[in-house]
Amino acid sequence: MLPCLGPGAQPNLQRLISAVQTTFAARLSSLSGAALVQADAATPALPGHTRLNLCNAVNDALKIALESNDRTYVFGEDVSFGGVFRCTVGLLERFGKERVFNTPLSEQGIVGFGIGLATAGHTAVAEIQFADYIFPAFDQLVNEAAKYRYRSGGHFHCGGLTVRAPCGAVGHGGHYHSQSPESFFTHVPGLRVVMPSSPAEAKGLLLASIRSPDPVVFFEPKMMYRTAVEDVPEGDYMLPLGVARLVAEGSDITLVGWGQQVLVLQQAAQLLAGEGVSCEVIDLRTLAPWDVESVCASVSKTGRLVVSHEAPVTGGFGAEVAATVAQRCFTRLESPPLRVCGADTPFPLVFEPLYLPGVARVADAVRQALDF
Amino acid sequence: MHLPALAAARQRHSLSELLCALARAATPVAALGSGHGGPCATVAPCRSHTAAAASGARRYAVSTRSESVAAARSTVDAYLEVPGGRVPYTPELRFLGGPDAPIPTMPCYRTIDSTGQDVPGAHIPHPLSQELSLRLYGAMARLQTMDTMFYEAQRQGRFSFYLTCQGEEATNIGSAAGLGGQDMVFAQYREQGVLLWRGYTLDQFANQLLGNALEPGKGRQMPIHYGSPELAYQTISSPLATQMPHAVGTAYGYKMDRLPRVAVTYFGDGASSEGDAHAAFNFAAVLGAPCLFVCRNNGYAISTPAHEQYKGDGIAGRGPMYGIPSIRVDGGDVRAVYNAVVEARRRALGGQPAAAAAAAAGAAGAAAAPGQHCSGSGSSGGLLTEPAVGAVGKGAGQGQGQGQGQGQQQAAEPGPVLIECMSYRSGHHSTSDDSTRYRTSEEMGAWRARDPVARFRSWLVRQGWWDEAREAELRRSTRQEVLAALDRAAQVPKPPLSDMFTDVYAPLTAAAGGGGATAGGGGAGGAAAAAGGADDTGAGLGLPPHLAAQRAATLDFARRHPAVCPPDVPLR
Repeated sequence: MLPCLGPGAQPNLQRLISAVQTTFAARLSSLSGAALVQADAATPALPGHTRLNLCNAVNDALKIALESNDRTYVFGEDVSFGGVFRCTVGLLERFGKERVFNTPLSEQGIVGFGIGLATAGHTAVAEIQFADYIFPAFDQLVNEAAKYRYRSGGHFHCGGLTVRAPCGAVGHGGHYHSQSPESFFTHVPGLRVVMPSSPAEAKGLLLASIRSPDPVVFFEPKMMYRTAVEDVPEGDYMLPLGVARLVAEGSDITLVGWGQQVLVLQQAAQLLAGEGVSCEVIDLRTLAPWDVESVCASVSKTGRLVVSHEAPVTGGFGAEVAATVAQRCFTRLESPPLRVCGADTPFPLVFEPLYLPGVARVADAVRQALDF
Repeated sequence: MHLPALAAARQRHSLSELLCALARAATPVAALGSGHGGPCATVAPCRSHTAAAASGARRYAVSTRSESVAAARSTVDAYLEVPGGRVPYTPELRFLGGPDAPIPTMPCYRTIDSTGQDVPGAHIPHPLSQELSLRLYGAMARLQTMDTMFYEAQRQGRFSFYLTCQGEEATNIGSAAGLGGQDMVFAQYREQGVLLWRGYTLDQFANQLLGNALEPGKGRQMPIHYGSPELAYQTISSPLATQMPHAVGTAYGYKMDRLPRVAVTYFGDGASSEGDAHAAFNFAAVLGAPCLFVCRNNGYAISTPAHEQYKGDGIAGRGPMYGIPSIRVDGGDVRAVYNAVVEARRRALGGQPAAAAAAAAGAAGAAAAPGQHCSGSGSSGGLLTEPAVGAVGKGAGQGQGQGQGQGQQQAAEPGPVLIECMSYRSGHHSTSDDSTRYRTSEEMGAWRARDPVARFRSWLVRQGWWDEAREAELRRSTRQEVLAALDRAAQVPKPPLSDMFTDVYAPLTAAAGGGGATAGGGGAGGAAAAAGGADDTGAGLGLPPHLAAQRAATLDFARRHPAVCPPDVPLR
């Protein structure tokens, strides 16, 4: 079964993603191997669309969430003035300080407060300033948010909670401004974990997360806040949680990633196309619960898998994908599933280009799989 | 023998003395701190030229332009203006706190002494009627008997775990009675008396303890992890203090909805050391959340005594530093706890304190009992101006003391209030604990002699409202009811195996899972989810695909290996 992976209503998105501009991409590739979503500045935005970067797409989603439900709140450290990444710019002025507000500097307080707001029937959109600083809130997310429904037999829940956290490498973040901690949370039944890979994806997935009946940890690849620009549909729309997206069709190997890494995979696929290799690229979008069927259907077709993420390889979510594929697609596999990930070290500032699973490393792994 | 904080309380300083001492130590300006705010006034932005503001500030307000400039210069040298507020300068190099300049211990409010007699001159804004007194006592005695019976039943092996409220019955019942029936409770775990007060039945307790199919949590949590949406009581979770920021969030939600409700969170002296406690205090104060913090300082966190838990003045002593009005109460005096909670609730909702309100209204209200300062539960403002909420439970006493008045007092801002109930955990931490390994039987015996239930019974007998015959009948009938409830609960089957997999996520429906108004429609995953568990009676559970598969596999395994199955769990 070939999965219907993408939001079919957005063919333009596919086109735009594939139209990777090279101006910034070349710089970025030399740095971390990441490519960019970059709309062609010479062409006007599509009808019914606005050209936005990922930061502004998040801002647009938050604005729509606040507009469409007056019991929705956006809060966190430095949110009032627009946030250190500017994702909440203009929201305080538009919706007032009761609904858009600063909190004291305490991640466990922010998430715990959000849980309480959500369990009272409100919609809480909490911002953790960097994913690297989400760990003080780990207990609140793991022991409280995730178990709220289960432990009460469904009588109480905090489904109105969404925790946004910027994640990933930016070229100069070092240990504490670069991490991708998604696998800590994919290990927790009860949480949904989402990471978008473009502005239009971010808007639709964030609105779906905010309206999800389950608590969601929403990681935003912060490198893409400014560098990823595309034509984003105007107005209110949601993209389904738990459903992967087919970024590029192919027949020789399946490349699976999420967040910013999708663009690395896409760039690697373009590079390998020049060598006559046909890569199928899948954006997982939601990591928990994840779209097993779509990935397994793809690997059953191609016979090969490379899964790639920035986080350290051991215990990363790629291990889950590889193990599942090994079990489900064993008789269809032509080579062992491979993981191309960060090293098992803390994030190393000056070694970042070699730490990150860039285009060249992904391409190497694909060639290795094909030569097996 | 004594709690350190109680021992220190012998200094008997009043709160106002404490605040004045702080103000004197913090500023060279004698006038400062003599007003209403004490240390708060010294750090709050003083732009309103209140009486508490220094003379320099007042001059600035009425001066000519040139004088203003001069005054501004002097103000610059008199105060440090920072984003957190105005701080006076001092030439003194002096530390506050510690042995050289100790902060006076916050005293402990009480109205009934250890022998059950009225404390002369006690401030009792909400006197207890005979009817309410008997309801309070009945609940305390039932709680005590229920605890004893359930504890013994656990020791007999009828279920796996229990913990009692022994020594804290007055804290449980007095606080519950002071709340509104729809005030959401975020308890720690030793507050079953609050549930009992609100009408949780002995059958409901027994069902939860035995983890049977009638238990709301479907047998998935340990015993004593109660919860009841009908009684506005959030389900217990074991981690300590995690519930505290939840209460703040819910309280903020109530304020946004303009509801006349508070959220109340209970926690122990040990839990107060957790980071979540600090976060909750600070968030509540900064965000103005109508949240009641009720600390049960029972002297021990399992084996760790309170003097190894904190160095400062207990828990209430921290409150003013967060900007939270705070009080320390004798947790063994049910009338004191009740009055403190009613007043705290009023303040939290932005209402006037009862004394001030009564004075302003010409002291209208209930008649004062001899020797007591009494005022009516009269006027209120802020969020209290909405009609009192209806009782949600079957229990008695709901709505007592909540927002009865509809006066025209100017509303204050809603915000948190902290109450520290000083008591003693007379029982073991739980059935898994033997507290004789870390405290002496003499210490425990001395505190058992201060049994808050017996203390209030003595007071009732003095009023002529209670006697031995009624006591014996109440205890006998409660024991019988508990035994009958346990027997009934034991007859109820366990939850079916499928309940292992439900409620991890919201049930998937056509509209759920974020797929409602999607731009692209569902993919293969969505289709699988819709079909999840369709076979083998799994349809309708709304499980996501992976849980549907795990459920089917577990059922299959259980049927092939019945010896591994927990007893009495239906395999469906």
